[in-house]
Amino acid sequence: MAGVNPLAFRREELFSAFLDGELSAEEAELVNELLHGDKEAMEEYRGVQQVRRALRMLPELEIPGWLLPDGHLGELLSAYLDGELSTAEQRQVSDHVVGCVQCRGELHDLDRARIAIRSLPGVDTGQLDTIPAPPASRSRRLAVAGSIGIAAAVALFFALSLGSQPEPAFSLDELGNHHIARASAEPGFAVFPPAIEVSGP
Amino acid sequence: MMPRRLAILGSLVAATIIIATPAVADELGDYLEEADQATYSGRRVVRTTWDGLERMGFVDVEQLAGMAMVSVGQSYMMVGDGKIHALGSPNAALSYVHDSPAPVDHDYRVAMGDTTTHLGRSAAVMEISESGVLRMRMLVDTDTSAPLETEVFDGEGNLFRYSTMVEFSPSAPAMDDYEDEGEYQMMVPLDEALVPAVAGRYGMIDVYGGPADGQQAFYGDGLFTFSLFAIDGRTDLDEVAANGRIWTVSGFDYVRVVAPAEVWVLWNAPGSTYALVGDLPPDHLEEVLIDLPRPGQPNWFSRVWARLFG
Repeated sequence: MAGVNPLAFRREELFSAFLDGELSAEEAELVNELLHGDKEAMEEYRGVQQVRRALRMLPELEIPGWLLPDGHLGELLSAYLDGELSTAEQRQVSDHVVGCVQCRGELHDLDRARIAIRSLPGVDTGQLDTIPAPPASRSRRLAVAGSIGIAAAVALFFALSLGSQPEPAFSLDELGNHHIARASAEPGFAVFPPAIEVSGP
Repeated sequence: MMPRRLAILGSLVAATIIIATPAVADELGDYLEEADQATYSGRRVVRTTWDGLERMGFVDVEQLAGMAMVSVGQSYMMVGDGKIHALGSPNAALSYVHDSPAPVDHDYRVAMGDTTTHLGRSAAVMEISESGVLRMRMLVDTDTSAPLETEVFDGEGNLFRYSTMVEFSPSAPAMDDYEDEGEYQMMVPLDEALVPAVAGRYGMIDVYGGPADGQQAFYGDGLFTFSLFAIDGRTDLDEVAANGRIWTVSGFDYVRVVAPAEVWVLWNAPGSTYALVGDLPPDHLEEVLIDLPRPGQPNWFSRVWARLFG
């Protein structure tokens, strides 16, 4: 046991036994005394607690395939840039990209390619997928212009009557914290404290 | 505090031995206060089931002197007495100055059943019925008054929420001191509330300004509680609640999100967004929604006006 601080080792054992409910009342009291006002001991206690929690969580982890060592995001990156992913998927992609050099590079290249295409003179991305129409006669051009005018009016009507929804001004987490704080003043809060969800949608 | 706890638990045990006699509703309030003051630590698993949808979660809790230290991932949150404080993140601190607790609904009756054991500990069975129907069953730790196991039933007697300690210790470490640097929520006079004072069997207890420049009205019936947030303007609910599902009540569509320990209901009404969150069971929730502003669209002229001039 060379190099191991016997006091720290003993404390760790004590904390572990305390968390397991294995201590007598006197020993539990001793732990409380150890922790009271001793930030270093409290830090150590939290450490033991976190290791136990991490161990308990191991079998429950469900790792998406694309998060495995050889799994990368591929087409999801394009969808991410196009804003086609759900909020949860966007978060997963962001988290993955932060830690994956390959995907980060790919995302960077994709983004640069999109910017380059947009910056070509006289070309916008909408034109890439369309075939240029043949020249039209004057009467046809008038008809087309009329149609466009009517379509614009209809679009304006729907835009005004339906309206696009503004960005949300709140999140459920934010409101949830407000509710938890206020509810904690009521008797019985201990019966159903907030819980961290482990089951998926 | 200890003699009072002993007296209450003593009376509960005596009731068990003699006969399962209904007790007055005030006894429920007494127990709930005792449970909040209990000292214990451990891990609790919570599950809510509704229409075949199941959500499960856990919480590591250390409860001492009315405050609970709840671990959230790698950080810790101290909760109790109207305060929430995420350690290491002052911005997450909130504090509420609050009125007296909600009076216990007199429809609730408490009866003591058999004593039993849970996690090797002696526990008293407490059954809470509402209008003669079982609403909640709890296993209460005899020594500490901690709720070891709780079952909540919907109006048809189906198990709606289940909570159990899976690890339990009748002690908890002393908590770190922290400075009360929370943002205090401003209380609004009840007569300035934007929402009804009574909804279903729930009475409004107090109202606060914000968040999101709106109002938070807090309701309770002495056992369950919920907050109703009224926020100015309409909101894209798909964006806020990606895993929400449509739930129809009295012909109106709401977005419902089931979480392990609470349920959310969100909807847009003309000019406002409403978000309700609480631990109330489904039948109570339906009664509440009937009394609140209904989902709907503003008329065409209002929509155009809002789009043009805000």
